[in-house]
Amino acid sequence: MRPRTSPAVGPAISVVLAAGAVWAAAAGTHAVLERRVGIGALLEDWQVMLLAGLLLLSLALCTAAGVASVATAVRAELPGRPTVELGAAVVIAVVGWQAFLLLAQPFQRIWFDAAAATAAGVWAGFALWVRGRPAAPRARRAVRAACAVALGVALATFGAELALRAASALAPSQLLARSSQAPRRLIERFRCRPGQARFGFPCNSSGHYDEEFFRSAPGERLVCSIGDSFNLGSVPHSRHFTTVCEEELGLPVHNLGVAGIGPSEYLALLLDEALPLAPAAVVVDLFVGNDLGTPDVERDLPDALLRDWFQRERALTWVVSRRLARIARERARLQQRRRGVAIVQGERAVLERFPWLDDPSLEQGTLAEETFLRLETDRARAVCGEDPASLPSVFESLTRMREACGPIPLGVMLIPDEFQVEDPLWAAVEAEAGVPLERDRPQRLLRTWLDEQGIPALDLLAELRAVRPGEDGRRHLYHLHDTHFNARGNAVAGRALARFLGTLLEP
Amino acid sequence: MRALVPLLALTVACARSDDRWVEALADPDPFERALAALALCEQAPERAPLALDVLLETVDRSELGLGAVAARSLEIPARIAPNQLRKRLSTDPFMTTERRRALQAALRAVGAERP
Repeated sequence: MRPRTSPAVGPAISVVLAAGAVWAAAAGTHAVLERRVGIGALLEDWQVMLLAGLLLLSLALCTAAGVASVATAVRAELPGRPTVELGAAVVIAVVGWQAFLLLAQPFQRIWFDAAAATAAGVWAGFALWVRGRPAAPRARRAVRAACAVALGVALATFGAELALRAASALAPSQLLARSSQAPRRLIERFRCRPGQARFGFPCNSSGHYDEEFFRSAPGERLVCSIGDSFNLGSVPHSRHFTTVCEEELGLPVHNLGVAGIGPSEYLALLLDEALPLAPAAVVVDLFVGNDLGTPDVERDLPDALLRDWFQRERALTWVVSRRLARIARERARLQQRRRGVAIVQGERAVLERFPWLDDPSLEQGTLAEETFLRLETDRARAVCGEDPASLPSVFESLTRMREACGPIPLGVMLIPDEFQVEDPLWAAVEAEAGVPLERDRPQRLLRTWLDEQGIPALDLLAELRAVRPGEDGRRHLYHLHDTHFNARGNAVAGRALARFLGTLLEP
Repeated sequence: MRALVPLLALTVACARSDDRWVEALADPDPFERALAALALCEQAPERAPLALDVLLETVDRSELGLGAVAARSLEIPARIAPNQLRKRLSTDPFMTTERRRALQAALRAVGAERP
């Protein structure tokens, strides 16, 4: 059977495909060889040799395929199988894309270049093989059938991704929301170990400082509170603000907290861990002291388009399947739910061991006084001296969180820094800063934006300032020279959060 | 075998010079920066102190997954310019635990913990 492609189009397809393959192979090979000293620090010597050999082989195959295509075009001969070559290019591209998502994460440009060069070599090898094969009708039929099936699967996979992206753009939902890879890495780095004891209380199986989480059953309501070290807490579990809130509110409040994280990570926690629990409301706890100064490490990275397609956390076919599996797992756990799986181990003994929990005057400072003052002054300069540099990325994360929540109410709790609450500390910070400072600037900026967006906010600043100072002029709501709430601060925050949630959950 | 000669020549000809690696320390892609810092330690140890900032950044950036390699490579600037590493330890009280541990381990590895 003669190829059905017209004599003019067939050679052109082959030449264009071969040219693309040569370009991809040459670019990939050059990129890897140019960086081989650096890559040598990451891989074993034999792996570098194997990679270089593979890429040089790809380049040789692509060059041979290119020469064959041009020769065919120049001699005005009909090429071997232009449609098969085109179909193979599509199949290899999609298989390569999926293989990259599976094996070469996180996305880095150098691995993409190497993968593209390898895929080009695979295509060139296939094209040369097809051209060199004798035209046995039965074999050709079999190859054609196999190609048709592979092409169908490849197009369906790509089409599914396109359809999911279109659905995500037209109707944002928690199932289709995407975050990125860096926040998940940071969360895993700082997450507590399951069972790790804090003040005698073991973290749950997700590594959060709370009892075992469960998905809400139909007719039940629960709340998820997401934050950083304030959620992880530096008090016994019974004194933590989410526990205080839980008791006041009469509803379970799941406490998702990982130290050292920021708004980008809150989004990842919301998508991966909070929303599968089917909460009735979500509260994001923003600490103005450092959440506004946390740079989004993936912002303004080069190759944004490639990252959007070749980073696993951005590919919706992967994201949705993983999310559905998580929801199924939570539903299964709901069937065998037991409250209080995390057994309190000696929490009373801990209270006896740390008498400062009830008497802040007994607290021992975590940091040296001068170190603490320097830290607070740096933070004040960053958020009160000028508009915080990371504010746009905070707004972006909050916007995406609200989109992901859909009909679930999202609230934001603003946690002030200690210098905003304790007047003697503020005086010391102002004297140290050397630049004019606006004490409430972060709250002003955040509240303005949140009001504009219609996102309910609980500003703890007023609640904490309302606590009457002691004889020493201090309110003693933060642990001494530590920056985190002590038991008194947690109690104020927990009660205020309960009142806020009561409003947020009103029908 | 003769076909291998041009390929080997290509491999050698493609390699980056020390200056190109130094330029790459300012690349907008943090992975490229990390690669440049590691390469500089390997290829031009005498210029490794230039890579100190990027190595420390890489130790902290968990999303790159190169923290352990970068921490090991700190031994090279520690050998050339131990005072620079000691200065980092003494002037930045808020550095991450990972960064502090990596600096201390590098100084210990080259026997330069104390001035």
